[in-house]
Amino acid sequence: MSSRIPGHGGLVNSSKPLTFQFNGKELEGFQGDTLASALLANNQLLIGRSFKYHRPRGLVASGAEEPNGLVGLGEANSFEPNARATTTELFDGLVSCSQNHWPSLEFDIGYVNNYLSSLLPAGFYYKTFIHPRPAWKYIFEPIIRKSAGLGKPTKGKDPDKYEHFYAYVDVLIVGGGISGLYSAKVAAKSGARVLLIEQTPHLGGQASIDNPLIDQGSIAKWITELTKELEGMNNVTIKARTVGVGVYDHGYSLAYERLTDHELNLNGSRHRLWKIRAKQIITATGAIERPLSFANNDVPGVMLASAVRNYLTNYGVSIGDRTVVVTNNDDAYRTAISLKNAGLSVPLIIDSRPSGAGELAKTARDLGIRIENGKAISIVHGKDRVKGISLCDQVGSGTVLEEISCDAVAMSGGWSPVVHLWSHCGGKLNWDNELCAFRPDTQLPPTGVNGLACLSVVGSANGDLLIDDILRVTYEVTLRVIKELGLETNEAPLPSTKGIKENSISAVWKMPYGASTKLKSKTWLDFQNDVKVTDVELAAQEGFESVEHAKRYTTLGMATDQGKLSNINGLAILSESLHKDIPSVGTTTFRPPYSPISMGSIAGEARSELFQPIRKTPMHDWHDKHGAKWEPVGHWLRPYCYVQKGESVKQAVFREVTACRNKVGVLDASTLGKIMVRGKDSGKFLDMIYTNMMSNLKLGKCRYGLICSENGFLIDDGVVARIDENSYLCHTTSGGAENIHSMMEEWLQTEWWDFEVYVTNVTEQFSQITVVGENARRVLEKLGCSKICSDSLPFMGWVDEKVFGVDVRVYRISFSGELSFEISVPSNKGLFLWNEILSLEKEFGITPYGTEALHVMRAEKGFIMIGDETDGTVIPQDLGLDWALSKKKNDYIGKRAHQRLYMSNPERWKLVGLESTDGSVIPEGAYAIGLGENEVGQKVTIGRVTSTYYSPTLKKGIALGLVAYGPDRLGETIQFPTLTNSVVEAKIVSPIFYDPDGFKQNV
Amino acid sequence: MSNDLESKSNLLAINPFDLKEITEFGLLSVRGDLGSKRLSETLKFSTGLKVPTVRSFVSKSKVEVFWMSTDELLIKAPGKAIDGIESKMLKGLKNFHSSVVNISDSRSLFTIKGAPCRDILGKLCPVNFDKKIFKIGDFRRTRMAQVPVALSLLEDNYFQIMCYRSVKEYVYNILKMSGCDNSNVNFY
Repeated sequence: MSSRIPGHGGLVNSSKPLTFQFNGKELEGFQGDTLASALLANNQLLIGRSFKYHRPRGLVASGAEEPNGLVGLGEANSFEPNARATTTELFDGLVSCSQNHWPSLEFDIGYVNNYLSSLLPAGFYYKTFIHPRPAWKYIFEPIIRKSAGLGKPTKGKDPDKYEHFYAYVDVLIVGGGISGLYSAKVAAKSGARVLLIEQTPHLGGQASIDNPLIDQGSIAKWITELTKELEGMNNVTIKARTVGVGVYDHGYSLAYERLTDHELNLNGSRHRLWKIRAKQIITATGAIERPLSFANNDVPGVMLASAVRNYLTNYGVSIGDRTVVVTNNDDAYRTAISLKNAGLSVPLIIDSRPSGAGELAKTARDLGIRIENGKAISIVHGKDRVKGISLCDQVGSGTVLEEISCDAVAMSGGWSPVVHLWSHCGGKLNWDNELCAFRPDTQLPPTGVNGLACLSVVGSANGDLLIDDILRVTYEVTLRVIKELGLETNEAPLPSTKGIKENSISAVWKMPYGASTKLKSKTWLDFQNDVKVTDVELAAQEGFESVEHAKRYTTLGMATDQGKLSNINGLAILSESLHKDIPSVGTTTFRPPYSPISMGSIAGEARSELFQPIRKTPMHDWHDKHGAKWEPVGHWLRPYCYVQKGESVKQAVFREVTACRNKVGVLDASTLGKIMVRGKDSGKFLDMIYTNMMSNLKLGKCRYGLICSENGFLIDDGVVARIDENSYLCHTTSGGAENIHSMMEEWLQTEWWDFEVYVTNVTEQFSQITVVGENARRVLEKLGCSKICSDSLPFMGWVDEKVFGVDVRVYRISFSGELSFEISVPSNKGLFLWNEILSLEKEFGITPYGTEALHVMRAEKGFIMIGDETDGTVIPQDLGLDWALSKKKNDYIGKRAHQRLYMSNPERWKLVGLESTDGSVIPEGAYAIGLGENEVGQKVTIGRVTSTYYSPTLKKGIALGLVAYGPDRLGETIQFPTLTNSVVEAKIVSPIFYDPDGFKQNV
Repeated sequence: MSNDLESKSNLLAINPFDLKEITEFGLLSVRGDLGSKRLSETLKFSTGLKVPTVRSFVSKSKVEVFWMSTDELLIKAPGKAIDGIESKMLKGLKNFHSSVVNISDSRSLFTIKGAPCRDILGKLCPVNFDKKIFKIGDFRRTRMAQVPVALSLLEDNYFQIMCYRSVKEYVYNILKMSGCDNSNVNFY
């Protein structure tokens, strides 16, 4: 059984017990435990069920590479699925549960899949569930989805807070093991700004477990002193619990910091996503031990040798009482020695190498440990946990030589450098035959803006496994890196070390070498996705020769651990099956993130009320208090209408329209775009921007204008006012202000740089209030305007006035067909003026109205709306706006495009009014059908509705639409089929439904 | 105004750093050739200040001139003082290719003061706030989360933030959120 060993465990504080829950059971751990170590201390070896076959699974590793130890953490809205037990720090009150089983972890019905495994090889569903077609959707897929998979997602809203942080450093060091720490010192001593990040809560890495001698002292002391020294330097920041998840072009990197996960009820942000711009990156990300591939290597109790050692040394936890060590390298001997020294029994070290290990073998033998060289594990016995192993020769097919009883197996297939970050942005890899691993090809590194290396690798991530090499290379590499930055130092001399000499590893990709199919079909490569040796062999046999194809066919390396343990073993099996060498098969692509990050951290601050900025006019709060139903317009919120008590939205709109038509209405038009164009070439410039002539506009006058794209499509419209000799104020649509402003800047900066014109976006400088209706003039007179009679202020004119001591500009323009004034006032006075006008509410029957009433009224007048009548494919000619296309001008944006044949084709759909014969409102977006069918068997369409409303003024449905030959077909009836299979008949009429002579706007 | 925003926000309380809205100010957008004698002389005549260098601002008697781009300056003055500066600028630049536009009402201003403010801004703006990099007198146009802002360092750990008036609540709330308890970064 797995249990706590008193007197061991450097990271745990046995005087601080903590209670936590696993599957409803109350368990005890210590401060400093991970959830994994605490579960093991409670003999909870079985942690989950495998993805496909539902085999019982226990922990294999002790860090971020763990494939099996995935649990659900927390409760209710804070629940998090697929959390890694090995990287979850234990705290008092932690609640966890296992995943992917029914009805319980110990008894799982899904285990039946294990007995069906020969029927469920790689790609089985591609082959099997083809016919009958509907069966996939209704039978097979739901069953597979139910039986496969990991944790269940959270349903509620995440209560936590997340944030980003932008950091700029000279040197980013990823990994706080001895090479990362030492590299930080060398860089920091040169004066560079250094950020060191470490994924675990502790600095020191693997060396603090293996404890080599350094500067004649203990490594622990060296690490402590170095950390203290670095923390005291103000050019160094060290962040623990922060994992480097991605490196992108030009050294841009992402790191993921867990701020509050290690305690219950910590305040503040839960995760922080670091967005780092580093001039140089040094990765000291270490190496990951590989499993060995022997039959039943997934039975709980089979664990990586380094993890067994880590649990013992750091957490004082033993996996079993009798541990067999199986290896192809010297390092695993350290595990045997540690276990023996802790008083545990190690019946056997199985070394696949005929010549065995070096110095460490001698130490082991001296401790009385039996060593068998050239041997292998044929199969592991046990279902829910290891009961024993069968010993065989490595070179044979697995004939059993001896049965050995044990309750744990510590395996080591060698170490793979963590080259993920190096590879993320293009660093190349070399296969090192001696190391049996891919290591960074320092000749082909990721490069920065200057084309030179921006990322370097040190430590075991570089393939250096002995402390002497690790520190020497770290020193050399860091000096080279700081030299790139124009810095140097001699204040961080190389410490003296003496590593233990080790014999070379031997490549063991299968154990035993000639394992039978029966054994191989129980030999797991990818624990999390249930991929076996036979699956990869099958993929190769079926022609999936590319490693990328084999990966997708078998799902090897595709789970949440991204194949940290399985990739190298998998591609070695693939290369063996293809009779190729490993480098020519290559690796799959390493992609960020290195380990999973929360969705919340990606969103950062952008959630709830801060999800998106909302632009508010100075009158926003007034609208809000007066029942505004909001409508988004660009990033603005505008009142759609003001709903009064007991009123529906529809009724509110009708009331507002009727008030404007009969009395007086006011609109907050502040969102309207306003662009000031100044300079002696302003007229010339606007003649190019607008389709119609602007340069001849008289001072004090306004003109409606159209703006087209270079392709001739109508993109914006609005009123231009001539302010003085060299100044024009251009009004744009609410959503179009920024685009039109940038368009103007772009033309001025790139094409017409010789025009003496400057444009300034003054949209937010002015609030604009529209006063509409028969009584509008009386309202303005009451406010104190004196120059607004029809002689001094005719239609399409403007005057400056003073109202309550405030300078305002009054434009007489109309988008409603009524007598209408737009009062422009500096924004700080916008709300003041709005309130002053509304104070006359009773006297004149003033009604504030929203965008829907505005839309209805403009449709009644047949005025087009950008975005309704236009959709990026409509030209002014389609809308009967030919009058606004100047024939006098040589050029304007879009003129050339309008001369294309397609644009002048008489078959283009043109704007008309539409009246349903039964008075109903034609559905929005409805298409009119013609005779016959097109080449794909659809009914021919001859037009579509662009705007459609119920007109409270005319008491019937009215619509605007684009219809083929529309203006020539006035009086004809066309059919609009609806989604409910009925047909609305509509008569083609003039688009001007209301007051066609324009009498009302001139009262 | 700041009280107004304070009462509207449902967000968490902030650390002891000072976030204030400035209300009484005027702004003038000036476009023209910044290297020209005419413009620099007119600026000197109107504000007593010289044209600031790239990404910096100059100030005197509470009047500040910001470098906005290669052909744009922004003049800020307290109270109504901008009106006088505007007429002097217009007069000085008459018949000279330039544009002087009063945009006093189109922007909102905040100041943020205190030791953690570099870190708080560092959560929102992709800018290097290192003391050796972002120095007193520096000015930077950037984005704050999803909106454009301009930052100037008035004194050590004392920034002025300029944003569009329509998004001032967003800016206020996001700053408040970023400064909330227990989220110190201790980086800058």
